[in-house]
Amino acid sequence: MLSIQLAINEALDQEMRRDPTVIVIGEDVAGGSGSDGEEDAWGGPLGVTKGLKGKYPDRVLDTPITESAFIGCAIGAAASGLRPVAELMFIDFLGVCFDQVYNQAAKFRYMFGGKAVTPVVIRTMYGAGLRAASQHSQALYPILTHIPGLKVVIPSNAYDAKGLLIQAIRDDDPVIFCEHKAMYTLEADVPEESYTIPFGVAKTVREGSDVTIVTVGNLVHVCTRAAEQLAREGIACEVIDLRTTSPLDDEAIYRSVEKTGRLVVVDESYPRCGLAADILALVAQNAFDLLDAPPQMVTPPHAPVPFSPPLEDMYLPTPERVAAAVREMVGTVVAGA
Amino acid sequence: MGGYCVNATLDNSHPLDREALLSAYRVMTTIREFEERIHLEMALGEIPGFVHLYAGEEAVAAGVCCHLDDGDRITSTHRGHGHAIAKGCDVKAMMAELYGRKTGLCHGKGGSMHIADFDKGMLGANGIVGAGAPLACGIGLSAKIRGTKEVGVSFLGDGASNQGTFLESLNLAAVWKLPLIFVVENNGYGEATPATYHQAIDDVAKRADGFGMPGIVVDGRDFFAVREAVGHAIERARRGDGPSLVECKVDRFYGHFEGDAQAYRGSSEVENARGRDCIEQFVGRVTSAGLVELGHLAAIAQEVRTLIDDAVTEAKAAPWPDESDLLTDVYVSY
Amino acid sequence: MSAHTIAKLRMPKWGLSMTEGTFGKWLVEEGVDLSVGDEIAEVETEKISGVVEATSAGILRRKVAQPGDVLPVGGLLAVVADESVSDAEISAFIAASGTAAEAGEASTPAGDGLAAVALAAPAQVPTLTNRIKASPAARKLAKERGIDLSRVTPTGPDDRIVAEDVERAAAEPTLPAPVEAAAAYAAPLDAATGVVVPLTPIRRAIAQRLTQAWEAPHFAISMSADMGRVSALRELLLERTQEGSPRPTYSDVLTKVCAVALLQHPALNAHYEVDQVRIFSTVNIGIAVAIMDGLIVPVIRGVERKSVVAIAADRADLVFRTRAGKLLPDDLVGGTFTISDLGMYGVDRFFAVLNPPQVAILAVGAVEERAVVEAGQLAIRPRLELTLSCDHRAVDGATASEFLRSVKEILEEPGLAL
Repeated sequence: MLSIQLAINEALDQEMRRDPTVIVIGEDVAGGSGSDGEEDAWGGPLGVTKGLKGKYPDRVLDTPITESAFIGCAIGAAASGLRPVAELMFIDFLGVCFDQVYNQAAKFRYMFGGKAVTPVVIRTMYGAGLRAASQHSQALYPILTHIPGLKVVIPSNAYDAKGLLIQAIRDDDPVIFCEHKAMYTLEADVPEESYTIPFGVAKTVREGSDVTIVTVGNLVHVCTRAAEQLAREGIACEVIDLRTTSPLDDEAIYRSVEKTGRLVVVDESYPRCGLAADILALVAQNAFDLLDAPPQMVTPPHAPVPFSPPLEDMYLPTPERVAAAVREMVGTVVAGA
Repeated sequence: MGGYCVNATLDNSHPLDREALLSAYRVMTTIREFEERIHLEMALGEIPGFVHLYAGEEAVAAGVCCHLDDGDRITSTHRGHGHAIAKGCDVKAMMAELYGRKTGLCHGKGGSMHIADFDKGMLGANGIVGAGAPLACGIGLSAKIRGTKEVGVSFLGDGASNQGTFLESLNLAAVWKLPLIFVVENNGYGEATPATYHQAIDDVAKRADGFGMPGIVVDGRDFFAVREAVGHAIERARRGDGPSLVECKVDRFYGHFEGDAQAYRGSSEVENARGRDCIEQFVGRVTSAGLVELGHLAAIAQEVRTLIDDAVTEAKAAPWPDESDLLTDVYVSY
Repeated sequence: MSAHTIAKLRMPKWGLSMTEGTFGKWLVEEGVDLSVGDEIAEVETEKISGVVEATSAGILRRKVAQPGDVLPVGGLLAVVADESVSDAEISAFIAASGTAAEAGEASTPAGDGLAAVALAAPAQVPTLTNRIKASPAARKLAKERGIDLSRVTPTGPDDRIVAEDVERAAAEPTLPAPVEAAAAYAAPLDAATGVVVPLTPIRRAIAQRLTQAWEAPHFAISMSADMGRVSALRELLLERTQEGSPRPTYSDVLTKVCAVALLQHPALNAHYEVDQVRIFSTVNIGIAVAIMDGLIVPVIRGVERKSVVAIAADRADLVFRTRAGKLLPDDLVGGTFTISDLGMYGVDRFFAVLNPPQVAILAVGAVEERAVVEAGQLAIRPRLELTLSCDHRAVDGATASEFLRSVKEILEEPGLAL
């Protein structure tokens, strides 16, 4: 059993050992570089990269707090022969360096007529639940999913995290690797050897014939809990973990909806122009005749992430909210006590 | 390691042989003829989109790139034709690119503002002012990690020198001692706004000292001065001593973009600028010193004009990209 | 709750498989002011006992469900309204909803059980002319199976027809497996408790449909016709019938006669729809056919354009395919009038329940020799008893009588049909 944190660390370690062009750069990815204390003091703000500096002292680089410069630097290095893994500490900092991501990395290959490869990985933390308030809790991956040229990965467990990260590092396109900050300690069986998981292949986490629940990242676990409760009420939910939002395995969604006729998309990003709205639109467009009920989305409200614990708890999708949406869709209510 | 000097007296430690002089002349003349022709073709409505001309600033591209091999990489600006030509990009393919043709350097998908050729170490003109500086840090970092002697050059204008990306990149390059040269082409305008308005200092090179790297100001109309100053900076970078900033004072013969009426410039300003044309200065110096015969230069100029004529003729006759090109190369694999 | 509103409290749906619940007892009294979520009653299903919560706020004005009632999901339990609503309005509201059980059939399951409705704009049952609310999957399936969505009972949230409803409707005409049916009836009798024979799907469909039919205010009128001329006509037709061809029956002649009379009295060749009657210019007559566990009504189309011989051929084909379970969905839809004939069972006369949305059905018994008075003399004549049931919302007694008299006259003098 390995936590997501250790699975990511193991993936980085194995790839750095395998390929000398892989580097890790970011703010405090070693932590303490050049200080009097331990040079590898932090190993990333949550210790995800801890231990790598000692093994690869020249390839694990602390940066100044300078997102535009070091994310751009990683992209430029990728265009010049390296496979950098840059850590954008919080996805909320995207705004600081966004031009480098969406105007530069994403477009090189297309604008330059297919001659560029930009094999950069940007690891970043997303998600609410840690009382981190509005600027450190967002799930901004739809903004990145929106951009052609970028690939967006959102693992839900340690096994996937390792396989998807190794795939991301070996991939020749720019990849944004989004890690939910509330699930680093979540453990799963993770093989010691190196392996990859292909992008654009969703995983059916739980099979069911009544309702399809499509989700990603940490909410996979929320939806699984909802599905367990609903199963006790006689409603069989199929839970689909997208794993990557770009490329998106839309066929897997259609296949499941063909079976169930009902779709709920559960997502942590904002509802307007978000992932859930996009999937609903795709299904309405491409699988209209399969729908046996109006498709639903369970997302936070169109509001920033609040700080106060009770407010944040209200804000996020919960198993109860997911179950309620499913019940409404199939026309059942819960019996009173 | 800081420092800042204006019009440094350089020791002319980079002597030029006849071939190098002819090559420099050919580069500058090619840029000039390319840009003058684009100016005409744009006026005829033959070229789509936004175009920013480099005419007047040729000595900088030629003076910098004469030191570089294909393994040395540059990032460029929206005013990037000169850098691309000096870095060795195919002129006919560049012309076809500006015309949006399938035979263009980027198969018609980039256009003037995104001309690039990675094989030549040209990582792209750039539509975003200041965006090339962080990318150039990556060039330097890659060279350093891979243990090569390659260097990176980031071309920027005085306008970009006010962007955060530029200032952040100066810091990162200095902190990591990256083999990198920031070449600031100060043509006195950020679009239509004069540098006297958009910054409170005379010389952008002053900023280098604040980040701990040498900053040098040279006359960008003087090929020899540019070549000498950048030569020192590149040697320093290849030695592993870190980045430098070289500010070249230049003149922009045309507007910010083609179609810019330049009402903001004084009536004699462009005329005066043309009077100190970097190419004429170059020709005067090499011929008066007896290094090269005028007739030889005239022959090169004729060859260049023929090349540009052919480039335009071929570009106009070249096929457009078709529907099959629309969705290729969004990703390497998807 | 805004002023002058009224809403239903309905049988909830606790789980996908729940279709009905047994009402336990009331936990509140009439007159209490309810908030959403207040516990109001106990209900039991096959699986659980639970407490029903109020889905609308307001005063509990009328309890409708009684302990022991078995109600379908969506069935009416009670009415909630504010004080400004009169008792008469509440009664009208309940009447408009049908009984508790019927309300469940065509109305919303608990999902929007609170559908509070302003009296000024009473809720309307979906009609043929209103847009039918059906899921895309249900529409596609209905198209594939040739099912008329207007005849499908919705069970989805918000009264939406879902794919399952279409499947159910499509399954209705298929015959029950004979073995299964026989086994059910062969179950040993237990004198004390009786034997429970679960309804077959087709029986359930019939039960549901006839209950729905019974909503229509029926009236019936009878006449007796002399069948002497028809008898002679039939003899003539039989003589000319080739070996192996279907033999024309009295019913076939009657079918033709009805078509002629219906064109003369088109008010009877019609469908009743909410707030309107749809009158047809062609006559499609449904022929009730008994099968082992029920009744199926395949339709002979364009009867007015067909000869008796052609009608006989159609009828024979439909009856054969009905009993062989080989009817096509199209054979069952589009009827404008129905004839039910129990003559072969020795029935003299009977009253038939309407086949909605048709506005009339003709019940006929056996052609029997009877003593009649003719010009002051007793005579023995072949007679047929005709009983016409009508939907009083669409048809009045006089209209019905005129139609039936035309039928009688044409039977007695078939030449009038020319």
